[in-house]
Amino acid sequence: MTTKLTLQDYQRISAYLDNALSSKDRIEFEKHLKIEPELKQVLLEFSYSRRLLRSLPVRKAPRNFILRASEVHARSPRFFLVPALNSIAVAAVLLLAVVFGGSQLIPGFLGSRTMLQSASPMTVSAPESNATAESSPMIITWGQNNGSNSATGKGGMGGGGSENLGTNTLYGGGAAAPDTVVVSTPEAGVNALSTAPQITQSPDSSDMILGVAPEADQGKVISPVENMQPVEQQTGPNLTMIEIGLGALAVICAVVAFLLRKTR
Amino acid sequence: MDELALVKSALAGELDAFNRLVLAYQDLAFNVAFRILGDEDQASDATQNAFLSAYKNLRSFRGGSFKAWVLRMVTNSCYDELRHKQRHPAVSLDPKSDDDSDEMDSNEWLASDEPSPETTLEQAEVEHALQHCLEHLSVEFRTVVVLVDVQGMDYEEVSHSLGKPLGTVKSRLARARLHMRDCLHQFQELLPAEYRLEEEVQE
Repeated sequence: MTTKLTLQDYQRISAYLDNALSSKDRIEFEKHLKIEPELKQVLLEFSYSRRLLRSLPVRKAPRNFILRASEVHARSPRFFLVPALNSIAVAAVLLLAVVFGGSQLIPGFLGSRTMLQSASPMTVSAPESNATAESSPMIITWGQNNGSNSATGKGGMGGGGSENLGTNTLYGGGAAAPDTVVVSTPEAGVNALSTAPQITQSPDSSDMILGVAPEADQGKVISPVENMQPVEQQTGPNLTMIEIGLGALAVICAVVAFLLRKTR
Repeated sequence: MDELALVKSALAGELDAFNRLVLAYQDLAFNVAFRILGDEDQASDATQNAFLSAYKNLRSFRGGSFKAWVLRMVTNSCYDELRHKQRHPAVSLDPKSDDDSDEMDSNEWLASDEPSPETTLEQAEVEHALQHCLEHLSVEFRTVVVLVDVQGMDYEEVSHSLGKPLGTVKSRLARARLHMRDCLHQFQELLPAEYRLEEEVQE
C-alpha cells in the first residue's frame, strides 16, 4: 500500500522515534508501521539522521567564560544614552501636550491663537486725506478733461441715476464706496497671524465708477494699499513653530533611541 | 552541585557562585552555540554574551531547569549574533565556491578545526556534512535539531529553552528532520559504512 504521508505523519514518526508518544498512540502507530512501508522507511531515515547528529564530537569550550566584576558592572555609553533619549522624547511629548492644550483652553496662553480669536475686529482705516471721498465712490480717471463735465454713470448699484444722464451730474448712480473698510475677523479658528498690513477686502472692480475727478485730483493714482495700516499686531512666540519643534524633537529622539537599541 | 543555592548566592551578589554555574554549563553552551552558528569565534562571543545576560537577568529565573534557562540565553544570544552577521556580512579572503564538490575537495573541508588523535578523516567528513546540512536549515529548525538530536534534550526542556509550545517544538523537529534527511542524501557516498542508511538497524 502506497500512501502520501502528511506533516502529522512525520510528526508522529518523529515523536515515536523520541519515545514521546503516549502508550495508546504508540500502540496505534506500531499497527500502522506494520502495514505501511512508507512509515517504516521514513522512521529509518529519521533514525539515521539522528544517529549521525548524535555522533558529532563534543567540543570543549575554547576558554573559560567566567565573569569578572569589571565585565558585570561595566556600562557602555549606550546604556545611558538610550534612556536619556527616551526621557527627552517623553518630555517633549508632554510639553507639546501642555502647550497645545494651553493654547486651546487658556485665553492669552503665551500670546496664543485664542487671544486673536477674542480680539476686536481688525480695522483698516484710510488716511485723513481721503476723507473727502467719504460720500463719493472710487473714481478712476484717465486722460485730460475734454471740457465736458458730463459723463455717463456706470456700474455701482445699478440705476438710480438715470434721471441725471446727459446733465452736469458727475455720477450716474450706484452706492458710495466707503473709504473706511471695517472687516470683522471670521469666527474662531481663523488665523490672522500676519503682521504685515493686509488688504482684507480688495476693491471690487464692479464697484468702480469711471468718471471725471475734480481737477485737483486729476492725474493722481489712488492706491488704497499704501495707506492702509493694521490697528493691531500680534506679539509673542509663534505657537505653531513651538509645537512643530517639540514634535520633531520627540520623533528624532525616539528614532535615535530605537536605532541605538537595535544596533550594536 | 545545588544549582538553586548557587543561584540564590549569585542573586545576593556573589559572582563566584554564578561562575561555578558558568563552569558547569560552558561546554554545553558553547557546543549549542557552535552548532547553531557554525563558527567558533562567533560561538565564543555568543556564549560569553549569554552568560553575561544570564547574570544580569538572574532575577527572571523562576526555578525549574537551570540548564533550560541558560540555553534560552544561549539561543537568544545566537539569534543576536546571526542578526549582527546579516547586517555586517564578513567577506572571506579565501575564494570559496558554491559548488559542494569543490567544497569537499578544499583544504578547509579536509582540515579539522581542532584536530585530536581521536579525530579521523571520516569523522571530520561526517561532521562537515552534518554542519553543512544544519547551516542550510532555517535558524528555528536548526535550533530544535541541535537541542534534541545533537544535545539529546527532551521535548519539554526544549520547549522551556525556546519559550515555545510543545506542539511547535514537535512540528519544527519533524520538518527539520525531513530537511536533514533530504540534505544528507547527497553525502551518502562520503559517509562511512557504519553511517549508511542501508546499514541502519532499527532501534
